[in-house]
Amino acid sequence: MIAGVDVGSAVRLSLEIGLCAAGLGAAPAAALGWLLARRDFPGKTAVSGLLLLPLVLPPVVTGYALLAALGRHGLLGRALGVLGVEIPFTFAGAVAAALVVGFPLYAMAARSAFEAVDPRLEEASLSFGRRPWRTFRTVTLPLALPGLAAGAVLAFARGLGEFGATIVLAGNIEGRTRGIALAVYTLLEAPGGEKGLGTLLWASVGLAAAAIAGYEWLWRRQRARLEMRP
Amino acid sequence: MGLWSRPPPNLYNRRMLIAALAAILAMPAAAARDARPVVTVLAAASLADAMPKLAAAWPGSARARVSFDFDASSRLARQIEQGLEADVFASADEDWMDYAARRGLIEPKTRRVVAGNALVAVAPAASAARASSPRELLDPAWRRLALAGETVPAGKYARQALTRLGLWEALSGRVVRGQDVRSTLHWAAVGEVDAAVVYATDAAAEPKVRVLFVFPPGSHEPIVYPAAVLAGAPQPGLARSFLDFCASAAAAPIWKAAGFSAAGAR
Repeated sequence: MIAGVDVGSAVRLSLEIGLCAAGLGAAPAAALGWLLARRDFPGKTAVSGLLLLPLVLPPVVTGYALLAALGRHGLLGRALGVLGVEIPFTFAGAVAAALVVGFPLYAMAARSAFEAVDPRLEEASLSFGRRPWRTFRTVTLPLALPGLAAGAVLAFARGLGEFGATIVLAGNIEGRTRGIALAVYTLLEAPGGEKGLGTLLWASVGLAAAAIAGYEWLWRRQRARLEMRP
Repeated sequence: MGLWSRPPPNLYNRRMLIAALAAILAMPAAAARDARPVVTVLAAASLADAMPKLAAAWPGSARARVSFDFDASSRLARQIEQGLEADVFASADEDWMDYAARRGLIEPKTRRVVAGNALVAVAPAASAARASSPRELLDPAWRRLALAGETVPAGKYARQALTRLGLWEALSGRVVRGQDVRSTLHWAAVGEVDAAVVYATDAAAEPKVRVLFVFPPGSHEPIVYPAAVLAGAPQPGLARSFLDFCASAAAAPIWKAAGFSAAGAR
């Protein structure tokens, strides 16, 4: 504990938030990535534009929008409240902020992964009489998997350092929503807080480096997999 | 030949160019005419409403201009430490002034309290819930209570008050921590929390909240705003004069109008 900040808990929380965001985002990111890569539909340009929005919006604005939607007086918030689920100021809120802010990276990586899969392989599978869903599961998905995993790593890494949207939607609560970024911010505001900064600095540099290395390795595997001749 | 055989250059354009150049050259001169010396004041964000009014009323404003930088006291103190050049530092608590004093960043003799504040609990104006004392917050209907971050002064005072009143143990599970006092206030204004603990001045500035009660002054350290002239101030004389004014009886009505208690009136 330095200046009331538990550095270990901040690192642990950041990891948990990043992992939850990467896990929960997997299915929607893959579905949207596949749609954008393989299907034409009305409003496709609008959808891909909307998808990029959280990437370019200031995260504080994203957080404010999320609070307006998921809060007690928001449409979604009221519906969830009926079910007894509360998002703002909870761990779930921190995950929601990380998920939304990181989702564009996730879905774009998924889209590239599906686009890189040669459609002729899918056609071949279909021509052997495999049903579309089975073709997707046995041909498309395995071929795109390293790329999808790379997207998960990106979403995880983005969630690790989320600050702006989190502090507005989930607050700065020890052991619940205070990850690495919020802990650093809190320490900077405390006289004598510098002592905890070193640990957090190295933890975030280490985690970021590991995430980038993982991302590179996965994309290399993706390319290697696609270059294999059947 | 050559130069003179060309068609004459477009005189209209040349005149425009000369006019523009003249205007650019005249600009520093125009600024220089207004170049009263500048007193730079670094002040806690909660002083942002009151300070400019004080500067306008300061008799020295005929001879000098006051320029402000409002931010969290913590950030200002660290910026001064890193060499930010200014004349006056007005902090939201004694801790950050001590921080600056220990590092020799202020003129110790000029340090004084210029204003005070009170701690209040507010509820969204739209809610009907009532509480007239801190103890009533124990009612489980008060589900979410927002406090500023534990390292910013407002958050520190709030925890102190709840602890000294013996309520912290029971309430800590319902506490959500904001960033600074203003974001905490915002949560109450939009109804995301049932109550928030903020300064009286913040409550006065936000029409979407109403004050439930004022925390008894003995429940927390006095909330005071110490100010001092910085060591190495470019305008130490003017800075001292401005500080004297802020702590004077003449400044008291301005402080009171913004919701502060004035040092000059004590």
